[in-house]
Amino acid sequence: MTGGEPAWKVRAGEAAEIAGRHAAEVDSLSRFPAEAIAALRAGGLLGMLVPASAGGPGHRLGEVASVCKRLGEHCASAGMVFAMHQIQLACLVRHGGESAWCHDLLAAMAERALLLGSVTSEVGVGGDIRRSLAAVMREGERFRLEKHGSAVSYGADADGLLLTARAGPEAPETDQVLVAALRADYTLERTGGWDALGMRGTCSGPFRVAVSGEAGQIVPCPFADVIAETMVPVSHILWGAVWFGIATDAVARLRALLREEWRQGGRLPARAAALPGIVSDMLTLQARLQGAVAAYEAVWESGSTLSMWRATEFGLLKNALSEGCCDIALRVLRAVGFAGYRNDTPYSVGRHVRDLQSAPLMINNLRFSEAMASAALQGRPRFDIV
Amino acid sequence: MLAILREIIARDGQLPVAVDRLSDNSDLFAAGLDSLGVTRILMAVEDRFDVVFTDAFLVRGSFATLNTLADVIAKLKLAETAG
Repeated sequence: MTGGEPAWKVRAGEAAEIAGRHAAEVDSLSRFPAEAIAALRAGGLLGMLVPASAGGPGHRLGEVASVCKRLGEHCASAGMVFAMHQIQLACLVRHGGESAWCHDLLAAMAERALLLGSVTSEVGVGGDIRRSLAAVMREGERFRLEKHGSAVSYGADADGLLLTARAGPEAPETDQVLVAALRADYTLERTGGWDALGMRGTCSGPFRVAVSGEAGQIVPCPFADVIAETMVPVSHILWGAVWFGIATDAVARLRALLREEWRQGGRLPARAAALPGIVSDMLTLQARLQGAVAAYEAVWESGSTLSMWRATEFGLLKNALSEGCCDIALRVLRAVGFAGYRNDTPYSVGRHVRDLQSAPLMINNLRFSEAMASAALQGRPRFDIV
Repeated sequence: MLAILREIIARDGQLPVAVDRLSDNSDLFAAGLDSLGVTRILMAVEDRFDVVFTDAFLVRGSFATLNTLADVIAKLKLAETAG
C-alpha cells in the first residue's frame, strides 16, 4: 500500500507511467506496447478477473475498468490491449462452467499471466461477429478449426486466443461456439498489415489461424449467450473506460495550458470559456460509466441473467461514451489551438483525437443504431430517480 | 399456440434458416434470431395474444425456443387472469 491506495492501484499507476513513456513510439512505429504489457504482467494485473477458485485475485470489474482508464490516460493502445484481454477473461470466467480445460486455462492465466487475444472477426462476414463461416471440425475427442480473422488485435503477441466458429460443418452461420486455444495449439499466418489512423499499437491486422485441440477447449455455452450476457456489456464498459481515460488526459492538457497562461498573464485566458462545458460533459460520462459498472457488477455477483432493458442500457452506454469522448477531445483541440494540433508540445492532443476516432467504429455506431432503436422499444424504460 | 408462434417467427423473426427446419426446442438465437427480431416477435406476440411482457419475462431466455415463448405467454395469461 502507498498512501492508502490498494496495491493493485499502485501497480496500475506504475504500468501506466511505463506505458506513457513509450506511447509516442508505439504510435509512430505502430508497434505492440510490449513494455506496458510486461509491466502489467509483472504487476499481476493481467489475471485480475481470475477468481480465487482458480488461484486468481478475483478483482471486480470496476477495478479492471479503473486500470483501463488509467492506461488510457497514458497510452490508448496499451489500454485497449488490456481491455480486450480482460474481456476474453470475463467470458471464460462467466461461461467456462465446469469445463476442466477452461478452469486450467484460468489457473494458468493467474499463474503465468498469459495474454489472451480474440478472433471474433472474419473475412467474408461483413463485420457481423454474430456470424461465422469457419466451422469446428470434430474428430473424436479432438477438433480442428481454420479461420481467417480480419482484425486480430495483438495476434502475434498473444499467448492464447478465443475464437468464434460455427458449432460444426452443418451448423448455420449463427450457431456459434467459442474456442479457447493456447499458442502451442495454433499456427498464425499474417495476411496483411495494420497501418491505421489511431490505436496503432493494438496491431489489429488480419491473420489466418489454424487450431488443433481437445474438445474440452470448446466453451460449453452457445456464443449467442456469451456475447449477450458478457462480451457486449463488458466490452462496452472496458472500452468506455479506455476512451474515458483518453478524454481525461486531453482535458488535463487543456487545464495545464489554462493554468500556465493564468500564471503568466495574471488572468483567465479567453479559451477558458470552453472548460466548464467540457468538465460538465465529462461528469455526465463518468456517471454513465459508474452506473453501468455498478449495474453489471450486481448482475455478475448475483449470477442472474441480464434483463433486456439492462442490455439496452449497455448498448446505449457504448454510443454515449464513444461519441462523447470523441467530442470532448475535439473540443479540447479547438480550445487549446495550435499547441494541441502540433505533435511536439506538452499540450498536444493529436494522438488523443486520432485514437478516439476508433471508438464509434468498434461495432459501428451507424450499424448499431437500428438495433438500439428496436431494443429501446422493448419493455418500459426505467427513468426513475431512486 | 405453437402453430401461431411458428407463423409469427417465420414472418417477424427473419431468420436465415427456414422455420419448418426448427423443432419446438431449437435454439432460436443459434438459428440467427437478433435483437431486431426479438422486438418484432415481442410486439407481434403482445398483439396476437393480448398480453404485455412484464419485467420478469423481458429476458433473452423467454425467446430462446418456441416452447419457452409458449410457456411465457401461458404464464402471462395466467397472471392476468389471476390479477
